[in-house]
Amino acid sequence: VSDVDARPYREALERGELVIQRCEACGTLQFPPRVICVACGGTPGWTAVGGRGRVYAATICHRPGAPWLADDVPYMVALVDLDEGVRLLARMHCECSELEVIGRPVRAVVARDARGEPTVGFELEDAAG
Amino acid sequence: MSATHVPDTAIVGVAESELGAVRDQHALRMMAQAAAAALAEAGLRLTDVDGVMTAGFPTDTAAVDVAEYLGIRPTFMSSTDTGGSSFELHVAEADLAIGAGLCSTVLIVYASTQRQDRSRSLDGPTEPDFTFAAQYERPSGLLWPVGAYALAAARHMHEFGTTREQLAEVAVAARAWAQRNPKAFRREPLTVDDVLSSPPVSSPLTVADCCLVTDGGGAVVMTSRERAATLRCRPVDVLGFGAHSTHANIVTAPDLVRTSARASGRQAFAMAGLSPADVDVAEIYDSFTITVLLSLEDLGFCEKGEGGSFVSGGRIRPDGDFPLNTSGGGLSYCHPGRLGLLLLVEAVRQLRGEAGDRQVPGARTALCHGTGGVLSTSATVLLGSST
Repeated sequence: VSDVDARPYREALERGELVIQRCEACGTLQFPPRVICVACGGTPGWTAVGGRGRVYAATICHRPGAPWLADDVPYMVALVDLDEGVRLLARMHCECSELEVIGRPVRAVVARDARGEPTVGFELEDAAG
Repeated sequence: MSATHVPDTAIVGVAESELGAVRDQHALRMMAQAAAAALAEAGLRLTDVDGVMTAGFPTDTAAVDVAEYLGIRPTFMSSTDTGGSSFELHVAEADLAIGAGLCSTVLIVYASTQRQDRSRSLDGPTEPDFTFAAQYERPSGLLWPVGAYALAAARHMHEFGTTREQLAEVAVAARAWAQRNPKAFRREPLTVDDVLSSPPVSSPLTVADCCLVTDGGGAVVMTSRERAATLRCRPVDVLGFGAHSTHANIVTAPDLVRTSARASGRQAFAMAGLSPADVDVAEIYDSFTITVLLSLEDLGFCEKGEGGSFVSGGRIRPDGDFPLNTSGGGLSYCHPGRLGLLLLVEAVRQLRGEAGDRQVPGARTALCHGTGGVLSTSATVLLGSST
């Protein structure tokens, strides 16, 4: 019950898709999901997004943020502004520094993390391969 | 929105608890020791206190539990918790409650034994699994809270050309002040190169960009200015205050480099009828070096994006022309998880002229600015010597 707001988001990730909320009354896009639209108080529905955006900020974690990340260190985490206008916090898969990656175009990649959970990450649009 | 309130209270006593690395202590004992010392400064006793405020004490009814340990039966209490900025907000609450006649003498108190307990981790607190933090932040692996501040630092460097050296200067200046404070936890010399070559934690921030993890706490006693004038102490007047919150989790922060310090500071200055140029000494929350640059800009001490150049050239070091974090701050003096109360203690000592080797000559107006969470909350207090 405790993840009821997130259930459609998680179910979409299980299918390899990324969805965010779109208010059925006013059309405002919203992330993270809530039971109401914070713009108008209306009821949000869900809409698939393309997963393309730009890096707003990034950092390289040199210590694990949780025990299950111990083998991943160092790894990059970024705030990504999706083209649709919402912001996500996610793993950023690239070899560059945290300063080099800011402002660059990225695309979402849904994959299972070290816990086996489907999780959204990002990679550079123009990354080779 | 602009407040029409005119503060009419004063701080009449301040004290630190035991600081640094304590042994065989707990938070209630340390709060009691600080409370007794702060009340003694004011010539007051525990039985005179009818308002109790605290935050960061690990029970749901924090102020009630603290009051019980101190033997106080308060008519006004607050466990308002906005993280590190809580105690600046408590000054506002205390001024309003005293002004409304709900209580006459307020004790604001805090202590933590987090170093002794080894309780601070980079995983962040454990929250219920329906929170945004659990659902949309933890899976990314972001360190908490340092990762959020590192994101802000990277964005500041990207947007304004701020350099690693400029960030490091905040830590170096704090250490230079700490060398003048016998109570400071870290007093050995620190250079910009030392900061840059410290182990990275969450790039671009290194260990030396991060505040200490120490035990510690303190107490502040407030009453009306009218009553303060009858006490055998040197009151420090509350001149203005403000607060603002923009988010709790970094994923919903509207902007990482334009913070809630703007609205908080603007409200405090307007209430006091003062401007940044009137401030003689500034005590600004330094959880991380970037926190200080953002706050200096957003409080109006320099233009947006110019925090890096503002702190350069020794301006914020001792003998520079902008006395900042004169105790050594959270970076070098003490950071018991929530620094906001100790900012008030140092500001009051500066305004009373009691700061010893680190005294800012002629300091008459001080700013205390607390930051809570992950750049989530701000609370600003302006204080003035009444002599």
